[in-house]
Amino acid sequence: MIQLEGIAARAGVLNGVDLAVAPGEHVVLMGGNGSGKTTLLLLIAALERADAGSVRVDGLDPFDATSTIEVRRRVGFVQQRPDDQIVATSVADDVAFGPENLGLPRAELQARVDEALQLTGLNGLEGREPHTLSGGQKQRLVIAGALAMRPAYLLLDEPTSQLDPAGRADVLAVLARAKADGCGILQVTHSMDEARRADRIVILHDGRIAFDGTPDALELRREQFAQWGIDTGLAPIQRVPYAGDDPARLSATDVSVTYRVGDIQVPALRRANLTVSAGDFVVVRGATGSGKSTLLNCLAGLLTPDAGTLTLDGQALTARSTRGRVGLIFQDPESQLFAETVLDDVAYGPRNLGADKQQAADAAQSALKRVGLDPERFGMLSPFRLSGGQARRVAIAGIISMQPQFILADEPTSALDPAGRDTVRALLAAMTEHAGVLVVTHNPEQFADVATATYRLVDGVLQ
Amino acid sequence: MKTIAAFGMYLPGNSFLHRADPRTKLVGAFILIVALFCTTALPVIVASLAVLLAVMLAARIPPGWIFRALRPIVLIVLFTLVVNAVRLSPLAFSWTGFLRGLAFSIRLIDVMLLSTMVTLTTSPVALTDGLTAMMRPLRTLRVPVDDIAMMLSIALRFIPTISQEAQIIIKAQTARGANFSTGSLFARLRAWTVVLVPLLVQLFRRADTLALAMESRCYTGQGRTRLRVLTMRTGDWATLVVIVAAAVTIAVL
Repeated sequence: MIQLEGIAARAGVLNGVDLAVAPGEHVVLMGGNGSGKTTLLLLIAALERADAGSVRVDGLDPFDATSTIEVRRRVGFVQQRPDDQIVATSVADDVAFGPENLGLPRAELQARVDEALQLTGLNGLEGREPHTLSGGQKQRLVIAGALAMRPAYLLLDEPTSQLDPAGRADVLAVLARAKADGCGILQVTHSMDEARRADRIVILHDGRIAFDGTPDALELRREQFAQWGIDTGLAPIQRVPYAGDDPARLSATDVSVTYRVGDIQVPALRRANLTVSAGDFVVVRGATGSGKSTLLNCLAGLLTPDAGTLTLDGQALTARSTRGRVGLIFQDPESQLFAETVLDDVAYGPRNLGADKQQAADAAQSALKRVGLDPERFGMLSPFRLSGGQARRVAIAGIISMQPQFILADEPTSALDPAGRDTVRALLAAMTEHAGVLVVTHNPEQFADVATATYRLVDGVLQ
Repeated sequence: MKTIAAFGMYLPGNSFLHRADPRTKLVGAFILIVALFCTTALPVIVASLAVLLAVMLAARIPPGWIFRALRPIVLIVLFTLVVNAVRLSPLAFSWTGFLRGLAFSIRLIDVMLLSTMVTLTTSPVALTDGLTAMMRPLRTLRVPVDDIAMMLSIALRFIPTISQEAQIIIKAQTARGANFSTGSLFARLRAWTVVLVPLLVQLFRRADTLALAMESRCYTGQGRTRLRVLTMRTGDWATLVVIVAAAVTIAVL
C-alpha cells in the first residue's frame, strides 16, 4: 500500500494531500499545469523530499536512508519522454540496468530481462539499439526496465503524451497486464479516454485533492472540470475567411522521395499529389514514420524530391522561393527557441529576411499578439522560463512573424495540456485569414471543424 | 537519392573477426603495429599486406569498404613515394629511394588496414567494453573505472539521438531563414548559435530526466553486476599466440 498523509511540498504546491494506492489498483492522477502531479510521483519514488507529512510505501519510509533503495526497487518510475530515460546501448542491456544496480547474479539478470521483455512484447528486439525503436517501443522499453525490478507499484508521468495512437495502445495494454499481475498503478494523464480505464481518478487542485472517486462519479462533476483544469473535450474552433485578394497556391505533383540506408532503399514518399491554396485548412492524417516529415520538408523547400514537381504560385518551388513564404512549424517547435528574449526569438525570421531592427520588432510584436501573448508582458522574458503552452505559442509566433503565405505544422498540439491544445487549435484556425494552412496530425478530429480537405498518409502514400 | 551516412565505421556482421573478443583485436592490432614499425624489409611488409587483405576478405569485408578506409591516406602515400624517389639537385629518379618510399607507404597502409579491421568489426559498445575491461586493473590505483565506463556508455547511447536532434534544429532554423554557409567566418560561427543554444538547453533537460531515471532504478555507482561480460575463449588465446608469433617474425626479419 502507498500511503500519503498531510503532504506539503515545494513551498505550497502541495499543501495537505492524503492519498492511498493499493496493490493491483489503477489510479489516475489529473489536474492543471503546475498542480503538483509530477511532484507527488517524485515523493513516492524516493526522488524528492516532502516539506511536511508522511510517505509510506508498504510501510517503508522513502527517506529513511536504510530503506530508500528498497522503496525505489518497489516503485517503478516512468517519465514523459522515453528517449531520455534509456540508459544503455541495447534493449537487453537497458532492461538489465536496474537489476544490475541491485547486484543480482548474471543468471538472474538474464531471467529478469527475458521476463520483462516478454511482458512488454519486446522479445526478439534484445540486440536493437534504442534509437532505432519507434516511440511506443521506446516507452515500452522504459516500462520493461521498471518491471525488471519486479516492482509492487508503477508510477507513470504522462507516459503516452508523446506517442501516436498505435504506440499509445501498446503502452496501455502493457499497463493493463501489469495491473492484472497485481502491480499498483498511479498514472498522470490529461486524456479522459485513458482516465476512464482506471479504478479511481484523483484530481489535484490548489495543492489538495479536489476529487477522489470512480470515473462514473467524476462524470457527475462535469461543471467543475474547467475550474480543475482538466479536459472538457475539444472546444469548437472557427476558420477565419481569407482576407487577401490573391489566392496563392502551393502544390505537389507526383512527388517521390527515396532514402538509402546502407544498401537498402526506403521509399518515404510515393507519387504524392496535394494542393493548398491561400485560405485552405488542409489536414493530413499521418503517424510517425508515414513519410510526414519528408512531405513537409519537400513543401517547405528543405528537401529536393527524387521525382515529381513542386510549385509555389505556378513557379518551380526552390529553397530560395520558399524563404519567408512557406513557414514550417516542426513538432515540439519550442525546443528550437534560442534567444535571450521572446521578442528577439520571434524577430529572428524577419531579421533573416532582411527586415531592419524596427521592422523586425514590429513584426514580432504583431505575431505575438496574434498568438494571444501580450508583447508588453512576454516580450522581454526569457523563452526558457515559459510554460509548455506559452513556449509553443512563442515558437509559432516565430513562424508567422515572417508573414508566410503558407503555414505547415507537424503535430502542433502534441504534448500540450487541454487548455494549451485548444489555444493552439484556435490560433491555427485563425491563420487562414492570411495564409493557407496544412496540418499533419495523428488526431485529425481536432481539426474536423475547420478542415477544407483531409488526406491520409500511410507508408508514403498520400490519399 | 539521399544517402544516410552510417555512424562511425562499424560494419555489422557475424564473421570470426566480429565474434572475437574486442580485447584480442585491440591488443593484437597494437602488437602488430609495433612490430611493423620495427622492420623496413619490403618483402615482409608486402607479405603482411597480402595476409591482412586475405584476412579482411575472409571476414567478408566488402573491398569497397577497404578502399574507403584508405582514402584519407592516399595523399600521404603519394607524397611519401615522390619525396623518397625523387632526388633534387641534380633532379633524378632514385631506385633505392623509391623502394624505401614504397616500404614506408605500404607499412602505412598496413597500419591503416589493421586499425580499420578493428573498427569495422567491433561495435562501439564492444570497443568500450573491451577498453574498460582492460582498464580494470587501474581500480587498485583508485581510478574510477566503473564511472568512466558508465559515462562512455551513456555517451554512445546519446550520440545518435542528439545528432538526430541537431539535424532537426538545423532544418527548423533554415526554415526561419538561417544561413549557415555564407558570410565571414565570424558571421558563420554566430549563425550556429541558433543551433547550439537549443541543443544545449535540450541536453540539460535530457540530463535531468536521465538522472531521475537512473536514480529511480537504484543506480548508486556501486555494487553493480553486469549482464554482458566479456570472456576470452580458447580461440581468442590461440589468435593472440599466432599474432605474437607473427609479430616476432616481422620484427626479426
